[in-house]
Amino acid sequence: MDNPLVATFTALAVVAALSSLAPSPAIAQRWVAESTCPDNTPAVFHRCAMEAAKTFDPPRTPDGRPALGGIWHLPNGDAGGPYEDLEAHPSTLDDLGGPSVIVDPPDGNAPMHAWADARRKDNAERYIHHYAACLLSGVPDTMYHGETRQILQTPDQFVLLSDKTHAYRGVPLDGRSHVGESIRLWNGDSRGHWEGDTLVIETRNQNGGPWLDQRGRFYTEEAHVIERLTLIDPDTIHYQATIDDPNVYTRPFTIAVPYRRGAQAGFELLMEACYENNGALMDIYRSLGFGVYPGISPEEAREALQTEQ
Amino acid sequence: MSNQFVASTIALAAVVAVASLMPPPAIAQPEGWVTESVCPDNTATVFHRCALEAAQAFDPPRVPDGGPDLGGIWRLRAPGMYEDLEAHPRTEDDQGGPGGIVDPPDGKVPMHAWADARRRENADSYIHHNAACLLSGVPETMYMGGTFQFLQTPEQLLMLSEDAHAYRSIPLDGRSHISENIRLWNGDSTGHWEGNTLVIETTNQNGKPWLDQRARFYTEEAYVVERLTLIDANTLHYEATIDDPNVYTQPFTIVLAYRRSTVEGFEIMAMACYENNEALMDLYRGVGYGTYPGISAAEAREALEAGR
Amino acid sequence: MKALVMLTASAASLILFSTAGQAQEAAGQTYTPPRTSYGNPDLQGIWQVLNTAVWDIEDHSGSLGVPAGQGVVVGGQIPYQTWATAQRHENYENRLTADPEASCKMVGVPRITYMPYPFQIVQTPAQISILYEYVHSLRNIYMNSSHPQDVIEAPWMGDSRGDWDGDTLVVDSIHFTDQTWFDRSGNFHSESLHVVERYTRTGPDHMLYEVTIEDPEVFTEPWQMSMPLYRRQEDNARLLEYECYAYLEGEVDRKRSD
Repeated sequence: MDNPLVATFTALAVVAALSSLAPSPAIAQRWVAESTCPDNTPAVFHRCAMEAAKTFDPPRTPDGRPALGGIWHLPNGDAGGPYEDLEAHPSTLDDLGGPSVIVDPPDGNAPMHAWADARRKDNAERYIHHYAACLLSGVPDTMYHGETRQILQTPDQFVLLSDKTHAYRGVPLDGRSHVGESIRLWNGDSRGHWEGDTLVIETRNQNGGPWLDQRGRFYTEEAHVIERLTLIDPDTIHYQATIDDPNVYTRPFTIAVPYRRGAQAGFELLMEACYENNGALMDIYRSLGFGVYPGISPEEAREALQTEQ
Repeated sequence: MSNQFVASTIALAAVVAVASLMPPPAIAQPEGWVTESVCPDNTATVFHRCALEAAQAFDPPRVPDGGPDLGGIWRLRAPGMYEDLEAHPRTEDDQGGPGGIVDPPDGKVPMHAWADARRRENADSYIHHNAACLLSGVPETMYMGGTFQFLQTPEQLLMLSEDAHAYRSIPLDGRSHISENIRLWNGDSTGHWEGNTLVIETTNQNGKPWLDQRARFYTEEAYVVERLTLIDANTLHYEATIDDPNVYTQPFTIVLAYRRSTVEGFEIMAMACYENNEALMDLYRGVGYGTYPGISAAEAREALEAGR
Repeated sequence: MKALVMLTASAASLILFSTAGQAQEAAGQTYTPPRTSYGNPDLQGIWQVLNTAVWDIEDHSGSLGVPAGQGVVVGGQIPYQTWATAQRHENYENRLTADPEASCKMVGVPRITYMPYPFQIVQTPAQISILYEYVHSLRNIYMNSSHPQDVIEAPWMGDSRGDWDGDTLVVDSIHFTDQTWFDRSGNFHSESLHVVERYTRTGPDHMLYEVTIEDPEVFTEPWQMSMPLYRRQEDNARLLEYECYAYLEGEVDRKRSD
């Protein structure tokens, strides 16, 4: 059951969603509407994108890599609200609704262990979603929570800027090793490398504090996430993320979403002061008995799995 | 009235003080400093007059970059200065000494009347900074404790004391003082050579250390000028002029003599003070003493106006 | 043929001559530092570390008041004896009061180096003194001399004897108390602590600081820390002060008079 208090944040998104359903060329659009692949159903987009990538020769940076830099919008209206629920879900007062963003397994369902699926429903009753407390979103939730993001690309670094709580992800491309296992970071520790024209990012060292969606879908600090970003036409990025955490999921699963290049000249990313203005809301949440989700250790998750069997 | 709790820390110095009243013998003394000197150092005024003459005739050894070499281990020859800048007798609490003030000539500390009254009150309510292992400021660092090591490089004169492992680093590169909004326990010092004399100007003190155990105090606006001159190979003439019109009716000057140590391989001790001082602090507080909070220049001026 | 060889040799020596003693930081090339007037490598100046070692010398996540950080311990983990690991956890639980730094006491070696304050190295032929802002801590490193057999009271900063190994200053220190910690998270040692530091200039504004820790009462084997030291660049860079216990005692007095 969705946390009703987070609904207020989606109001603006609803307006955005409605406007995105209108036909494009004659109206000022926030993103480029023309695309090689329809992006209204992730599964369809995904299949199309995999094909399109084979033949597309992307614009390149001076060092010869696909130029991923720019302002990118996640067209929520069409791709729905994955941050609400990774699975298909209807439009309601609280939700935009949308199709599943899970492209593997093919049934579009998040393959949680039974105990974990029960636990997440329980958690959603007791804890607020991380964004309600202005906490960071981790990987991959940062990549689909919020419509707009900016990518800065240099030969050594891929930097992802989000418009939610002025978050950033710095991804070194220089082949260095990950930090030691005892360091846990809200957005994990990421390392990127190129495979042909696809940027592959591997992330570990997360702290398991953020959820994957507002349905409380969680993971532990042992999660290993692999993302792949590929330009499939000049204005569309195919984004995929495979989440692998056997402590919570029965198998790795993959989500996919499209990013569309921003069409507004001189667009500047919003640096949201979230926590600074959040005091009153935190008081309300707490007075209603909600707290911040404390995470679950791999040990505790494995014990829960044992008990279930 | 000196703080009786500090008396125990200076017992050794008392022995030294008595020895200094004897004429210098021809052989190296077991006390460990060079006793042959161009000037007798038992009375500041006598030493001072002699030293000013001797300095004119002496050509000191120099460091490679040209300034006189002030480096070495130096033993202070100024009995009882930290007890009382003025002449004072030997008692149970004090070594006693002839005082160190050469100007004004009457050897008295020229405090405003309110300040002289205030210091006596302070001595009854607060412990001397040294009892709390706090730094001694300028110039008291130079006579609190008996042994000093000067390390001289082209860039600076480093003065190490055995008093709570304190150090004073005096830059010789002509830099300007830090901003007056920064107050430091040992102030901010800069040094330059005037002929064979190292002149050190110190500002930016915080006014918390006392000048002696008689609680003679100053404010953060104090301006201190020190002058160090070798008058023979083993004797250093030290003068300090303290200028703080908020507390004193005129600038006044003290003089100290230092003699080079003869102890082979001497190593100055950087002893822990505060780390072992808890029991004493409890004792002091138990009998109602606290650490001296200082007095601002503004408050001092008000007190002068009010006459108290 | 001979002439060609000679020409090549002199060209080679020309190259060597021009790069030796220069302030270069070419990767993989050993830096030759300038010298004092008496011929030793000149390590003088105002230096400071830029890392999180003061909070925790091992890898650690962030927590309130403590940023996440990569450790300075070579190899990652401190090789504690089994009993010592438990003691370390206990120290961590009590760190806000049990850490000597929390009560403004001196912090010993090598923690004084990675406190978040600048320090100044002053060199003379027989003695190198290092001045630290934190409670005006002072270390006198006596060159070409031996440790005293015993000390009446363990100086909190140890007894240090220095020597040159090529262009590296090697400092050997013993006679420590057991009351200091290596960081704010409870990593500790006994009185048998033996510290060997190596200070090596790596460029005009950088120095490599390496430390070997030996303490058979607490660790299963010697272990090391390593970190860069950075020269303070400001024109007016100088040591000021952090007179921790002066402020602390002042607070105690203020509260008593309230």
